[in-house]
Amino acid sequence: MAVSVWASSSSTIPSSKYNNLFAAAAAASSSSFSNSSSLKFPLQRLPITWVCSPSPSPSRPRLLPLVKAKKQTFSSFDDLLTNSDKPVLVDFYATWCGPCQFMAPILNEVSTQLRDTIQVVKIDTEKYPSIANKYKIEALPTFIIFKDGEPYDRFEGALSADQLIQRIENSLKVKQ
Amino acid sequence: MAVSGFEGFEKRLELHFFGDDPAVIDMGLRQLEFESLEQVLHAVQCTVVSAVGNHYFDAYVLSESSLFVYPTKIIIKTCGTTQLLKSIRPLLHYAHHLGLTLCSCRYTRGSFIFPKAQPFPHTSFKEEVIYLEETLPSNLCYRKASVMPSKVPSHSWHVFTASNTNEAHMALTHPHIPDVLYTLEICMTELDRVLARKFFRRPNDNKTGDTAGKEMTEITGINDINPGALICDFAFDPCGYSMNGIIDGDRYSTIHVTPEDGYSYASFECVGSIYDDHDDVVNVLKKVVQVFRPATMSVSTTCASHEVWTRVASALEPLGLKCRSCAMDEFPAVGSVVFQAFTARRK
Repeated sequence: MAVSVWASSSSTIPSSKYNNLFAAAAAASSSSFSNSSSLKFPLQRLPITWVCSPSPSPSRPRLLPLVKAKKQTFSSFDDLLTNSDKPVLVDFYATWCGPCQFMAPILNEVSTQLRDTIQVVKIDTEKYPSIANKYKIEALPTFIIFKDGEPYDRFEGALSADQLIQRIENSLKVKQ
Repeated sequence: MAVSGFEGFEKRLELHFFGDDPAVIDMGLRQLEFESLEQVLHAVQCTVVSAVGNHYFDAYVLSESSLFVYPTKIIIKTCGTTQLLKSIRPLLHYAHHLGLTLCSCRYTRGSFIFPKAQPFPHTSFKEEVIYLEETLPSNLCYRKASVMPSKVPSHSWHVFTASNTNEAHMALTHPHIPDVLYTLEICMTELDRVLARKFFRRPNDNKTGDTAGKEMTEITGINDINPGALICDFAFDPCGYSMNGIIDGDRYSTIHVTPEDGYSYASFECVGSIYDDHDDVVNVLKKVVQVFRPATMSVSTTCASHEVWTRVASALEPLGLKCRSCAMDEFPAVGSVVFQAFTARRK
């Protein structure tokens, strides 16, 4: 079927048709955001090690120093893990991540349904970058089931309530 | 060929946006509330089945294919009888509220196996083009529509592009991007029957779609196509399979399978760079063929440069797939689209 052409013939098309991400990252590093949700990467493609947070300077956030205040948060998370009488399901998320928003109501439902089996905790990877860093969070959402304070099972990506319940129950059953 | 069945051939829509405020385009479309995305998908009659995100983009597996949301780019690919073009108006609306303006649109699809089953405006390419013409804002003044034929009657390639510039839109605002990407869209029909059986679920397996999907990814060898990719997969009941793969952070791949005999279909799509190792795309193509062993395969390569498409034929010919035709056309802001069709040599 022939369809008419409206535009003029194409001229030489210069280099890239890729999206704005690298440039946006470069542009972002020169502006400051108080609620920054972006990582400032140098322009070449890096293997991603994690997805969190705001770094006050354009330097690579991999080397975030542990500050006393952060240590406190850190150790309270540790406290939570070791002192919990049930296994803990931790949902690592970010506010700007669509799939994480998709999971929010599902997590509430599962948390209620499995309240005797597991404790559900959500960690905002931007607010707690050192915790996200420790567990090498790359994809969002990432779920880690902790038993006796140690990571027990881990899976990435959003899923339905049924799927999440099944995953939790299978994981705790098999390894017991 | 069956009289009617599930339409595997997808419609694919890619929209690019720009904004003046760097704070806005940093996260751009990813700032869309999930409820807003659901509204858009509702207009298209599909729902989210699985999802994962990372620093660069969000990837959703839908009830009828896939959705990828980058800060300034959104890609929706849907199959069956979805009305994909109806997503444009709500998307433009939400993007506008975020301070984003559309700068280019690309719509592509193969030929439907069951064209009469398609709803408006997908009843014909002409209707689709008219709908796009009416829906897209006038600042996209460079437009082109073309049907790229092949020597294989069941495989042809329909392309519509519209842009606010004749040049690759990136050149306007960000001339220093050091990469040239290509998109590879593969359509396969008449899949090997034995291999296609792997995409059927066992009755009463008591598994979730998620778990069954993971199994299919492994037993079919799909996990081997891009080893190390983060895969979000789903197996439909009683048959059918979808997956999105996140490769190297900002690249995706996506596979959708309709395994029923009589109208079997599988698609593979991925993004690559012309600066990748030449063997990369060759290896990917080979593995894809090994998973499905289709009798007919068409490959569309979209790229600003002319390098990639030549590697396709050289990868497929040694696997017994003979190139029947090759068509090339240039489209504003998108570059060259090369459409090649292959058929398996029968012994």
